[in-house]
Amino acid sequence: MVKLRTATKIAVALGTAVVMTLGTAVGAEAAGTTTIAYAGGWQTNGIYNPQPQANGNMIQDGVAYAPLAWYKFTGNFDFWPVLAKNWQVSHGGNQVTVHLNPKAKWSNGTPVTAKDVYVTFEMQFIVGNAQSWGLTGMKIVNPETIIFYKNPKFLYSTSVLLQQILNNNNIMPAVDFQQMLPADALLWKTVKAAGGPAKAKTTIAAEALLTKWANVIEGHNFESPANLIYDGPWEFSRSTSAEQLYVKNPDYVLANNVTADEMLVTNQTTNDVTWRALENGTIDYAGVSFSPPVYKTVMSVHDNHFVAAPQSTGMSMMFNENVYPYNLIQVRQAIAYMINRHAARLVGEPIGSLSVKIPDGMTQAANEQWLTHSQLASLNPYNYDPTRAAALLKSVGFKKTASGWKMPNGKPFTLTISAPNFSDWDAGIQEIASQLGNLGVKTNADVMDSTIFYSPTDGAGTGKFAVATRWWGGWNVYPSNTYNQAWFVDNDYSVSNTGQIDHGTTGSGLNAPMAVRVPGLGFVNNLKLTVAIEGNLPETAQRTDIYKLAKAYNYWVPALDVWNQMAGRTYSTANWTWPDFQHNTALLNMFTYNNPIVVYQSLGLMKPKQ
Amino acid sequence: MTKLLRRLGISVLMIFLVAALTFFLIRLMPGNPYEVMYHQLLMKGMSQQQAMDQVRSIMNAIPNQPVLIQFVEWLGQLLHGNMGTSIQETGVPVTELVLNALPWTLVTVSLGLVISFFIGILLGVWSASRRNSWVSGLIDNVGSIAHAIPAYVTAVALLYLFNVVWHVFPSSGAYGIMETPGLNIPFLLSFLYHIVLPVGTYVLTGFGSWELAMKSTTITVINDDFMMAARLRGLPREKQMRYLGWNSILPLFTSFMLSLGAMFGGSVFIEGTYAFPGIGNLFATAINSRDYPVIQGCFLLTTTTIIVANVIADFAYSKLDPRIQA
Repeated sequence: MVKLRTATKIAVALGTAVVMTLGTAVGAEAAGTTTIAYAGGWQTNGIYNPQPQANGNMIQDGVAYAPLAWYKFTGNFDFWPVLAKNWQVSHGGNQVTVHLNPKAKWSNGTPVTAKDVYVTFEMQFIVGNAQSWGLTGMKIVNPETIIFYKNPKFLYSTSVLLQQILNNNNIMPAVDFQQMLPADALLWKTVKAAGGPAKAKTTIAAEALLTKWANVIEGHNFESPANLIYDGPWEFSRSTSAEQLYVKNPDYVLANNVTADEMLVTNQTTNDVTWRALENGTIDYAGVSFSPPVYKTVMSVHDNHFVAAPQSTGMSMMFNENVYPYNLIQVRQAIAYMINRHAARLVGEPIGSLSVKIPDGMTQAANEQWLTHSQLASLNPYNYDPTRAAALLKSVGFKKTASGWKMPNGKPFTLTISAPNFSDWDAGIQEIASQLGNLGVKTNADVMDSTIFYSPTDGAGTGKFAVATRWWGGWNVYPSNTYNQAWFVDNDYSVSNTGQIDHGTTGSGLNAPMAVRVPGLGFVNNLKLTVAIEGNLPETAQRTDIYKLAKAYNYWVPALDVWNQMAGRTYSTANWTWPDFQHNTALLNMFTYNNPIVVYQSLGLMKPKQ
Repeated sequence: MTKLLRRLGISVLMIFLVAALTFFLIRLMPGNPYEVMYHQLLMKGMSQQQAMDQVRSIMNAIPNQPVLIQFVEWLGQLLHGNMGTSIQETGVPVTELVLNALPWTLVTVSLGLVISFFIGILLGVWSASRRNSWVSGLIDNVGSIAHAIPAYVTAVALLYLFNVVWHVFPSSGAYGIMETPGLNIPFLLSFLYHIVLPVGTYVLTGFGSWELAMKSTTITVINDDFMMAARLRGLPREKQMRYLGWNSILPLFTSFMLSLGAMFGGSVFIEGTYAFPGIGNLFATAINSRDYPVIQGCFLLTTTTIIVANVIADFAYSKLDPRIQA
């Protein structure tokens, strides 16, 4: 036993010594290096391929690659130039000419050229994206100039087209990707053929060929960060399953503004990885929000702060108008009056959301941008009002009994709200069910696995649910996205390139009619108006149409917008100074639509504290 | 030899049956790779149509034929040693993914198992020899509680204490960002430093069962006639303890071998918590994305390990305890 005790003491002493040595060795850091850290995410066993569609891509492409410009998500055409020096829209919005900044270089010192832009967007054609914006081709004018051509008959907002070209695609190196692409002539011939009649053999063959090329590009593993070149603020240097290190790219076009020598990215394999890192003070920014208890802990240490940035989406309840009694506008409006949206928001999304003041399909920011005060005043806020709800229900033959509301056929008025198992939506729906139950409408929250809820064959989009939750707002500040999602996507309508409106055959979530009668406006054809604002109307005409769409949505209540999701983010001021984004909407928007560290560093708005 | 061949034949059949069963079972899970990707794209803000087009473009390679035909094709590939390619990581062979992840798990699981086994054995014998003392009760209770707490809870608790509160060990990863994997001292030191908490979790959640099992068998053996004889003959205590330990540990041998395979399953929770690049993490990612070929690869590995370990245990046991052969 004496021997055992001695051995134990030796083992403990040795163990302590090893741990101390390892800890000291591992904790060593180069003096004078400024490092900024944020919580990113990648697949532990992924591949090195910055092509955005590549599955399992481990590269934080927003860090290592830059777009032509960053959209500010404020005015229609407000951007910060990055790799592009400037651009012009001409030919009625059907040509976009981009001039590259001559100072834009790759990390090996070679210039970023029009060829790189060309290859980047060729890959967008191969995966079928560029066609969906109406693009038909490109032309390299000189190494610094490229023209994008859009089909003049294709309806697509110029503002959104510019976003796609300038903001949404980081420019990839032609030298790394060109060898995977087919010859130019074959590519354009195939792209054109793939746009033919859906069931034609040539179309099917062309689509198969595009898929084959897409798989080659997306499945390619560059094996190591060293096998790629970069045009973003930081070059990819090293990676483990838990961290990635990016070092400053001295050739980056805005390198003079970048004050962080290194970018350290933590892999958010689970939410608690991020919470721990924030509690430890080891990350400066995380694109996550928290449940209230975790929020309190995280915000109490390391100068962590929470920011809720605007987002063009949120949770809404959609009514399937093919199902009685949701085909009755009075019933939909009554339900809107029966729900205390503010209370539901406080239960479902208490930290990172806003209450919807006026449910008209647009966010409050978009309302204020596009509608006048008098127009806003003409919309119904549907404030909680059980009395008005009761009157509306009675007007269509419903009766209130001791056991609750009864429909005209004598059956109890019960309601089932189907929802995916997002914790915030689940909680919000449970609260709504409780509210409706208290007012005599027995409501059941049917929460299911999100893959089932969004199943293309059986999910909410197929019209198999009577009332279901949906994202509203279209994920973009421009109202055409909002109403496109509501009246086309969620309503099983489609519009051809030339503006031909067609109804699908599979059923839809809303099943709302194309045109609805709105008091004061007469018949409003929601689909035609949505298509109209997709085009290049003068702004005054757009405003008129947008008001009609807002009024129709607000009156018809195809869906009830419950809350406006905010982008909940956490940042720390312990090591870095941050710009005053709370008073600058464009900067604040970067928390929603971009990596704010990348943008702020590039604009020279962040400084190390030591 | 005939017995060995028969046993191997049965093992291969069992592996096949389990693999076949899992092939069909995982396809009964809600959702499929198309729907998972479709959902992910929706979450990125794409419209339903855009998401659908994108899925069609990216996943057109997945055969849409009936499951039985898919099974036959998969079986044919497997017989050629080909486990197919990942869906989520387009085109990357499953074998490559599994072989990249395996060493990390093998080292941590083995270390965790061996350490927990020896701690459990020592404590079990010690507790059995003092079974009427309060210390024995304390050891048993601590072991039971440690074993009863789910591994992911222990992992989070260890992380909270040793990373958040005391800043002693790193929270995630298998080595430091500045190290290059290979046979070099800085990497090995970094690796050892990073595996303290994952291995600690395996040990904490594992030693209790070994301790209780060992105590139980030791108490049985301690009352056997041969131990009585040893005591009556006045054999030295060390020799008595050797007899006792050797005979008590035998029943645990099979469990030890089986645990090796079972711990691959446990690594799903532990590696996820520590962002460890092993099989458990690969498995969890594959399940989340319904990456069928990778799920099958991980299942096959776990199944094979357990069955092979069982065969080895059977044959080794008969050598260790000649009474079994009789």
